[in-house]
Parts: sequence; structure tokens; C-alpha cells
Amino acid sequence: MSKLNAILGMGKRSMQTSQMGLQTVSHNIANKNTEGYSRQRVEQTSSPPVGSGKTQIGTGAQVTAVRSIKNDFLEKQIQSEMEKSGFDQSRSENLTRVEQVFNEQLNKGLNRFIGEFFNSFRELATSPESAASRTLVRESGKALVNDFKRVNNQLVDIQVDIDRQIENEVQLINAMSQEIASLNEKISIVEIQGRNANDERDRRDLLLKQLGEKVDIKYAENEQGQVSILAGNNATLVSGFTSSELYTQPTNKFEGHRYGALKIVLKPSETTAPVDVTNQFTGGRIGAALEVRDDYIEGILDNLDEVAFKVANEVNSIHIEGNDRNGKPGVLFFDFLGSSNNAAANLKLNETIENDTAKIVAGRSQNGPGDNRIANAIADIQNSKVLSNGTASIDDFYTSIVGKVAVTVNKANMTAEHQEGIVKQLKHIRESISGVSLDEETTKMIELQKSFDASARLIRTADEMFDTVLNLKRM
Amino acid sequence: MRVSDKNNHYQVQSSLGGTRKKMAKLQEKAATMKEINKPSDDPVGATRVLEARTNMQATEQWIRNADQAKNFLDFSERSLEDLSNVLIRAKEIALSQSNSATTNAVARRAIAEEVSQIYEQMNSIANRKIGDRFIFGGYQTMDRPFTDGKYQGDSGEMAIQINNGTEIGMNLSGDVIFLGKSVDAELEQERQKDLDGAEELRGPASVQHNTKSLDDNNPYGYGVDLFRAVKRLEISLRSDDTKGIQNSLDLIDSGINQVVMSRAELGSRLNAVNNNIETLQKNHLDNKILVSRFEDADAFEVYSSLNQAESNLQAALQTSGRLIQPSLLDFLR
Repeated sequence: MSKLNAILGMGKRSMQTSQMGLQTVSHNIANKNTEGYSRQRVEQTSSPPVGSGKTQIGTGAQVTAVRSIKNDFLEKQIQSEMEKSGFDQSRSENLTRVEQVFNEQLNKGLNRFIGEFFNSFRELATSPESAASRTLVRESGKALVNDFKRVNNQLVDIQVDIDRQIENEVQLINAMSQEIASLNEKISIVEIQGRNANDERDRRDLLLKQLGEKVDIKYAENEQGQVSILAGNNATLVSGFTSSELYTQPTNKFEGHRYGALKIVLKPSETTAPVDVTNQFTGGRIGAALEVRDDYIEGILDNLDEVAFKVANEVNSIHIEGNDRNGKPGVLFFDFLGSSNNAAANLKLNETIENDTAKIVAGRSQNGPGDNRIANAIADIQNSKVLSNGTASIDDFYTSIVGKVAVTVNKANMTAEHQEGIVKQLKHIRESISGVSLDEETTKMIELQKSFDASARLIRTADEMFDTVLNLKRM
Repeated sequence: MRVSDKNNHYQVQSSLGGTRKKMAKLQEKAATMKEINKPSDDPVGATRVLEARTNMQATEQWIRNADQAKNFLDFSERSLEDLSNVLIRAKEIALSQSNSATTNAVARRAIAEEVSQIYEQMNSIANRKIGDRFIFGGYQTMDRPFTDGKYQGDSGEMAIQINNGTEIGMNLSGDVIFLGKSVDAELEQERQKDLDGAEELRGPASVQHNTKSLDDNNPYGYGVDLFRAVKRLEISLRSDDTKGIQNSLDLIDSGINQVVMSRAELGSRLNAVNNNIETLQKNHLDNKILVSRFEDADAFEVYSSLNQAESNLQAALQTSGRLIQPSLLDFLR
């Protein structure tokens, strides 16, 4: 084997490896801002040497692989922390909206309306004869009813809005599981040929993180490099090359919701029946949204109903004991409520009272315009312990609702911030390992350019050497 | 640690984001001058504030109620003052006419006219109104309680809530004051039987129960029917009945006592109301202070933290600018 030829070949290969290196550098630079991208490096080894006589001589360099620089455990950790972060974030966002309903710091809230309602009876007690104080009672009663409705409606609005969020997230989840399934396919095709599917894996890792942010998932990779994904307990989203769709459906009104809340169902395949998986989802944004919708807001609505029911019932039972302005037996003040079910929404002033304030009862005696005993008794309801098995007054109970909301939101905000900090920190570490550094790439670029130049020079030198050899005869 | 370009960007993002967030929070505080803008800012403080607000709301109404009760009591008390002045005049007349030696039938008849006037004045006092409410009719505030000495009201007491769980009656019914009815006749009788002659507590009007024998026509058992007493004086004067004049003198004397007792009752209630108003106002102030302590921001603190945050932001911006800009590329030629 001619040694000169070897130099030529080596120069060529060396130019090729430098070129590949430069290509990777430019790939890195181009993807500097691509989310989830991990910098790639060309792995280069010296090619097998040849023996000649007693010496062994090198044959140049070769590229063995292009590899992503990343820490898979870190990626997994980020995935699981992002799942928590998604949960906390969504919980904090939705709870903040609940808090807004009860924010009495800047504007008038239900508490004030309750107070004004009972105050109007105190006012009535000071002048039961006056039509003005009766009108005040009616108006403050109406305002109270409206505010119960407002709080109720605003809470239900949040539930409806959460449904829209869920709908949205479900669509995104479907798109992502589809993409992951197709990435599975690509990765196994590439890797079966012994190459590294770096970019596809980066993309898939990113998708797994984003998917986890939306819903709690478990995933595992098989030997062919395909990941299977379970959402919740056993809702298979991706298995091999195939993905299953989630979709939303209105629930039946009687499934414990005040309105047609959405449930999430999984359709595993064309032939199998859809399965309700709503209750399996306890993590990610969807998990938090469901928790706020079904546990938290429902709980508050129940409490609110209890207050509305108690107010209506207690006021009614005293109101009918007396006689109205014209000496007729008292009618119900609020429309009768059979149970606390939806009491806040159904609370309504009795139409008779609404039409004629003389029907408002202030006294017990049939003929006594100055009698104010009933008005006093109704005013007393505000401070008597009628709720929580006789341990809390209406004010206490309501304040405790607001207190509970405040504490929960405060905690949720702090947890969310804390979790965000953890994710940030981990991402920081990830970028420190896998992120692209322009300085580094530029250095690499110069280095590779130089070796490219040198290889070219080598070829020219070899060429000149050939010339020298060919001209030997002429000399 | 290896620092990639993204690291720099994250660093810049989080330091700028953090400072901006802090500033927004401080800005909100500075704009509202409130430490608590939503319950979650300070859950404990917010519930305390809410409680205090509810309390204040009720307190304001109690103060209004107490003022109303005070007016009513005041006016009743002044009416009774007028009443006792009239009665004193009647007593003077009775006293001056009780002795046959110093007067005669003609003079008595002449002065009977004045007594008749006194009777009318009493009637008008008994039918006094605040606004359009008769004050001495019990619950019957819309109809004249007294016509010709007959009581048409009831014994209703208008209790007014003036504090949590505290009620005060703002009226005395006319039959107690003018007809000498015991505050609770039945209870009183029973109690007297039980106590068996022992000295007992009585309603303001029942003190003179020994006058019972003096006026057998008093249907209520205790106290004096002021109208009857004055009427009796007038009739006795007209009929020149010295014994009758003396009798009615005793009755009127007891009647004055009766009115004085009622006035004392009203006075003590007024006192209670006034004390209560003071307590309420103090409570209100305490609550205001509490709300302010939890809710109001310390202006100095807010502004100085705002300044600090501002300079923090500036520093962050400056360093960020330096951190992002240069790379090796800038120095290659």
C-alpha cells in the first residue's frame, strides 16, 4: 500500500470529520433556542492503525456517533416536578378566582348584605309603624337574595370555566400523545439501524414533560426505545405506535353536580366501549382543576347553601308567628325551601312581601302597630348559634368560609411558587448540562475550521509529493 | 458549573421577573395603602378584619337604635315632668281649698275651672306624639291612647336592641303612669302573697298600693288613677265637698309620687342608654383601630420598600444587559 495514497485518504477523512463536526456545531447554534434541545457532540475516535514492519502507523480519525449530552435521570426528575408544578399552578390560579368571589376587602360582599339585612330589622324594631323602614327591610332582603345568587353564580361560573380549561387540556393531551406515538415509531426505526435518534428523543422528552404538566402520567421505555404512557391509574394514552384519545362528555345532572359538569372518558380503541377516567386524574393541571371544581367549590357551595337555608328558615319560622301591619297572620318572608339543596340559588323573597310591604311582620299582637317583638326576634337570629350544630352564628360561619378560602389560597400560592422554584432550579441544572453555549460552539467552530484547513493543506502537500515523485524521472 | 446561554437567559428572566413581581405587589399596596388587598394576603388578619367589620356594622345600627330610644325616653321623661308640674299645681289648689276656713263655695267653684283646665292638660300630655306615634299607648301607637280618662292602649313595651343581647324598653305604657297600673299586676299580687306582707320590690306605680282604700273605683288595684283624682278634685270643688277635696289631695299626692317613680324609671333607662352609647362608641373605635392595624399599610415602609425594589430592578436590568450581550463572536474578526 502506497503511503502517499494513505495520506490523501487520511486528509479526505479528516476533512469529512471536521465537516461533520462543523455541521453539528451549526445544528447546535441553530437550536440554541429550541425548547428541550440538548447539545450534540460528534464522538470521534482514531481509526484502527496499520502495522508496517515493526511499527504501527495511524490511519486518521473516524466518527463513531453523534450523541446528545443529557442526564436522563435529571430529565425524569424534571418531568415529575413539572407534574407537581402544573398541579400547584392550576390550583393556585383557580383558587385565586374563588377567592375573588369572597374578597370583601375592597368591595361589599355577602357578609355586609347579611349584616344590612338584620340591621334593617333592627331599624324596623325602632319604628314598626313606618312604611319607610318596611321598604328598607324589603330592599335589604332583595339585596341579600341577589348577593347569595351572585356568589352562587360566580362560583358556578368558575366551575364552568374550569370545564373549558379541561376541554382545552384534553385536546392538547390528545395532540401530544399522537405526536409521541409517531415519535416512538421514528425512534425505533432510526435506532434499529444503530444510530442515535437524538432530536426525536429530545422532542419526546419535552412532550413527556409537557404532558405531565397537564395530567399525572407514568411511563416506561422498552428495548425498542418506545415509551408507553399511562395517565392516572390505567388510562393508556400511548402504547407503541398507537395512541388513544381522551374526550369530554357532559355528566348526568344527578351525578352530584349542580349543572352538567364535564367528565373525561377514554376510548381505548374503535371496538371497546369508552371508559370514564375522570376520577383517576389526580395530578397535573387537570387533576388540580378537577379537585377545585368537584371538591373545593362544591364544598363551598354546600356551605353557602347551608347559610342561605338557615337564614330563610329561621327568618320564616319567626316571621309567621306574628301578625302583619294589617293584623293578618304573618306569611313566609322567603319562599319555602324544603332542604339546603341549591338553597343559595333558589332563595327568593316571598312575592306577597315583595308586592306589599305591609305584609312584613314586626309584631306579635294582632292589633298593635307599635309592636316590634318579631322584628327584634328576627334581628337576634344574626347572633344566635344556629349553624354547625348550634356552635356557630351565621356571621361566624360565613367568616369561617372566608377564612378557609383565604388560608387555602395563601397556601396554594406559596406551594405553587415554591414548586415553580424547584422546577426553575432543575431546569437551570439541565441547561447547564445540555444547553448550548455560543462561546463553546464558536471555539469548537474555530478549532474545527483549523483542522479542516490543515486537512486541506495535507492533501495539497500529498499532491505536491505526488508531483515530486512523478518528476523524479525527468531529473 | 458550566454556563450555557440558556442559563444566562433563565437567570435574567427569573431575577427580572422576581423583582417585577415584588414591585407589582408593592405598587398595589402603595396605590390602595392597604396591607391586605385580598384575604390570602393575610388569612388571619383578613378574618379578624371581617369580624370587626361585621361588628362595626351592627354597632352602627345599635348606636342608631340607642339614639332613637334615647329620643323616645327623653321626650317621655319631659312629658312626665310637665305632668308632675301640672299635678303639683293641682295639689296646691287642693291644699289651698281643703280648709273651709280660708275659702268658700264661690271661690271653690271658680277655681274648679282651673282644675278642669289641668285635666285637659293632663289629657293632652297623655296623648303626646313623637312624629306620628303616640308615646303612651303601648303598642297602640297610631290611636289616641286616652279619651276622657279611659285608656285605649295596651301594656306593650317597645323593646329596642341597643347592644348584642341587650334590649331596653323605650316606652312606659300610659296605664302605668296615668292609671297606676302595676308593671305586672298579676305577678305583683302573687309575689305579695308569697312574701306574706314582707317589704317587697314593686313596680314604679305600685308603691302607693295603700291608696287602694282611698279610691275604690280604681279598677287596677294599685296606684292612682290620676284622671279620676283630678276629676274628683274638680267635682269636690264644684260641690264644695271639703272631705272630698282632702281625699283627692291625698290621691294627687300619691299620684305625684307615682309620676316621680315613673320618671325615675325613665331616667334610669336613659342613663343605661347613654352608658351603652358610650360603650358602643368605644367598641366602634376599638374595632376601627383593629381593622386599621391589620389592614392599613405603613406608608413609610411601603415607599421605602418600593424605592428599594426600584433600585433592585435597575441593578438587575444593568447586570442583565451585561450578561446577555457579549459572546466570543463579538471579538472574532
